[in-house]
Amino acid sequence: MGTVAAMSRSILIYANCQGEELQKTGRYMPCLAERFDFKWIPLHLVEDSHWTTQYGPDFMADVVMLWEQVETGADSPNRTALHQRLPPGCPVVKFPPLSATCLWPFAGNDPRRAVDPTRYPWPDSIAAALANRKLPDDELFEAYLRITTEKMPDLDRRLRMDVTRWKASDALSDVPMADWIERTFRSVNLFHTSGHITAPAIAHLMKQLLSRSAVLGGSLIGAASRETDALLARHCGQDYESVPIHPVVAERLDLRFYDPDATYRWHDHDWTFRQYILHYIRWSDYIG
Amino acid sequence: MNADGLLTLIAGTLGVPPPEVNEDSSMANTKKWDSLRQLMLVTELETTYGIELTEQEMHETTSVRQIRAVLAARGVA
Repeated sequence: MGTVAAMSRSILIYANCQGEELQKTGRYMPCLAERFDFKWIPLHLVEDSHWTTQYGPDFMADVVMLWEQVETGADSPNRTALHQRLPPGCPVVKFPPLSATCLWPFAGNDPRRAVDPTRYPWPDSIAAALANRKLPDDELFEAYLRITTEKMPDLDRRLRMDVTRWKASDALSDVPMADWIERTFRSVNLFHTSGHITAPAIAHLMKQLLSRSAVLGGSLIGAASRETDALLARHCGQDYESVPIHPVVAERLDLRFYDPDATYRWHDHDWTFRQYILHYIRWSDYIG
Repeated sequence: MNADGLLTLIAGTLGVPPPEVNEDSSMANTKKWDSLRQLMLVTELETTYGIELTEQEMHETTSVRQIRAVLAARGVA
């Protein structure tokens, strides 16, 4: 009976796919087992009907805290619906989404994604423009390197654009992340794609959220924070689609963690930058 | 780039079928047009049209109509 009563307390996470990583980390913590559950509402997937079918009164009844990922711009109807359904007085900790565009400066238009959006969801407009070239691998990759080097934008400016966006999200949040990202991203790989994060980023965010969750109590916050480090020490984060970083980007942004010979996970494959680019240009199948 | 070309560029950057983007599309009514895709769209517009948008213009390019207005003001569309 005691266990049932204790388990009927949940921390609700309202966030994009980064919320799933927080949820998994929370659920694997021994110190929180049978004390708190972690629920996740994927803000990018929720539809109007879900508020009555999936996230109705039963779902919300045991929520004792909300970890809410902010969005710049006007509040969405879903966010309003969420707040209308929270138990009265439920404390809220707001945190920013983590993303970086300066690491992949050619993310842009690829018309192939209009009809096949999931094969390579992280676009590269230069690679897309080479799609119809019938060249051997070496020549095709050389062409990509040449064009991207010629067209490489001012990456300091791109970084400033990211920092501006991070700070705008911070301004809406209780958990500031902009300064930490700016201080850390050169020495530690924080991003697998422009919107997917690595274990160190998950760990930092998780500990920041835990430290602001008074509902846990002081001793549990400390224990959970230590377990976060242990749990994520060998975790790779959201690495099922890891987009390699261009060597010129690494050089110009002074990415000290960068290894030009590194391989990057792409579903069941481990590809170098060259292999990824050639597969992407050719829009190759990679399943099976 | 012609009018349809801009819609195709936006669709290809957002990763949605071209018919889902029209003159009335904006961040407010297009689900995949989030803040991350918005920044990708800004950089794609800069690359395609050979311009560098000001911070003010970046804030203004959150709908097809506003993008057209910014590009017209720059004399590139």
